[in-house]
Amino acid sequence: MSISKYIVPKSEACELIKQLLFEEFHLNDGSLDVLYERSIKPHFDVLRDDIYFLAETNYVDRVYRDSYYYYYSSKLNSYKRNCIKISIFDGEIDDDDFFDNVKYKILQDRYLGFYVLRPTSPYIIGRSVISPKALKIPGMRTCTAIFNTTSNGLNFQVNGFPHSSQDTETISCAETSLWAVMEYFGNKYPYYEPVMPSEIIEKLNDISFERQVPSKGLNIQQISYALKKFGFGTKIYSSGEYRDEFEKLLSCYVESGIPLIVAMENKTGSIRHALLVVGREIINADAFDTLQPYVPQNLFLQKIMTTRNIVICDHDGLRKSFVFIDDNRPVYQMATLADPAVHYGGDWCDCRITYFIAPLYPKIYLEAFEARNYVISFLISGPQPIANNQEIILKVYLASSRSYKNELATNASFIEDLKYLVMEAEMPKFIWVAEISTKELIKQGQANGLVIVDATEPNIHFNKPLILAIYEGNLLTLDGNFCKLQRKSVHLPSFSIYEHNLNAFE
Amino acid sequence: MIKKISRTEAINDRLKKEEKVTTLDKKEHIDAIVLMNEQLDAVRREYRMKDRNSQNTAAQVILS
Repeated sequence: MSISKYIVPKSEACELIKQLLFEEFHLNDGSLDVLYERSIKPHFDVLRDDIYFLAETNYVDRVYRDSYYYYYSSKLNSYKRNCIKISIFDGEIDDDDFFDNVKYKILQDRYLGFYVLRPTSPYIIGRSVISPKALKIPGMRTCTAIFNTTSNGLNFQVNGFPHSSQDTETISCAETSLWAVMEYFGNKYPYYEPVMPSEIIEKLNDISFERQVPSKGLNIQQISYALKKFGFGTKIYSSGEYRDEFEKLLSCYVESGIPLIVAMENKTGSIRHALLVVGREIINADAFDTLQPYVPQNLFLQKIMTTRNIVICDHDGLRKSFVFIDDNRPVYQMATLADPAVHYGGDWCDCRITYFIAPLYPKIYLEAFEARNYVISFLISGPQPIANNQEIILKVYLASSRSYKNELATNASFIEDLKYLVMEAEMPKFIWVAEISTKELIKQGQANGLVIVDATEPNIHFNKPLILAIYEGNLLTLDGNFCKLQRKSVHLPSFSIYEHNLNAFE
Repeated sequence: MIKKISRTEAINDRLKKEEKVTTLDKKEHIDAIVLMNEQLDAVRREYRMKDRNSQNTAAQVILS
């Protein structure tokens, strides 16, 4: 039994895939057209037309093999163990290129990801990692990780977000979302590990009162529990509870580079679907003109803002499309939060996002709702409030202090003295950062103020979480010995905002 | 001789010499901080309720 390989341009992918499904998975000749049109073609349609496909048979896919040994092999019907792997490349390729050292290096730069086709008809599309560079219309900032893989026996790397369609038996949308989150974090950070479908099922056995396979889905608490067991400090947010703040909180976490599991429901409750939000569209500078003033739910802050004529525009209040990873759809679907099922039609069109689960690093004790409120309170009603009669734009996000300091060190627009003060400031692994800007500055990707808050400090009394704040010519820090707030007169010219949490694909 | 490098200390010393450092410990500052504490406490109570209710209702929503 040997591995066969085929190289075709995208225009011939249809013929090749049908041939492979027939020869390798022994699928019925009559159903191939429908199967390709419904289950596979939509995934290829979003790709650029100059893409080349390299297909390999007898591929051992670790995720499908796990489902196979845990479940499919116990059925009477015979399921194949092997999959088909489709690698995609930017432009024309030739088999000889792989075995020429110079051309292989060029091929590595042109590698754009892979799809696994599994023998679980009609849910054929299995694990995939596709670079947003392969899309006809990228235009997004999104979470991505580097994945090591092989094609034609050689090593390649792809920068993307993992995706899979559900097989509906071992993994429904809920398990697929859990798998994708763990696949992303496990490949990006050594603290986490990727998980297999059977591990998800096993982890939930203790809190399940019925059998787990064939899967009937998971409730939101079960998803959160599984994430907790896999090493996260999870938080659940409901749109019914957080109301106007809900979408802003979701946006805040996305800007923090944290992929979220979201629940989408229609009005009758007949559709309840799990998917991921992993990024957002690239924002056009003109969009900032449409930003509406932020009205805090806290009446005390509302009153001060009115009295002192201060307008805060919340960056998270910007109307924009988000990047969804949906196991029913091709990878990287763009949609607004108001109309997340825009690509579906039918009963799905009135679907809304009702919950999201944030998989946080376990030592982030100060979550987004309180962190955002603390920053706004500090700026409006703190001991050194911002000046009257002005409009500011506030962008609040989580960042790893290492990444933040690293970016700051190479940020030529940040004044030297303040750079050293921030670089040498003691910080936890994660910090909340609030960038203060104006509409004119933010259009140029600039800010002129900064508040850095300790994400491990939930005790918000006496400014305990404050690490430093710099705005309007003042640097505010807590005196190390007596925890008294000190003000130092330091001018901060405008500087480039931090955009390292999400990777840009234009 | 081993030399300690702390640019922060040097900058802070310079700012002190230039009389650019003030401690915000006057009554008006303390009053603002205390009032801020009270407001943050109120928001925290609200947050805890939202957080608890989000968890409770989440158990009813099965995603498939």
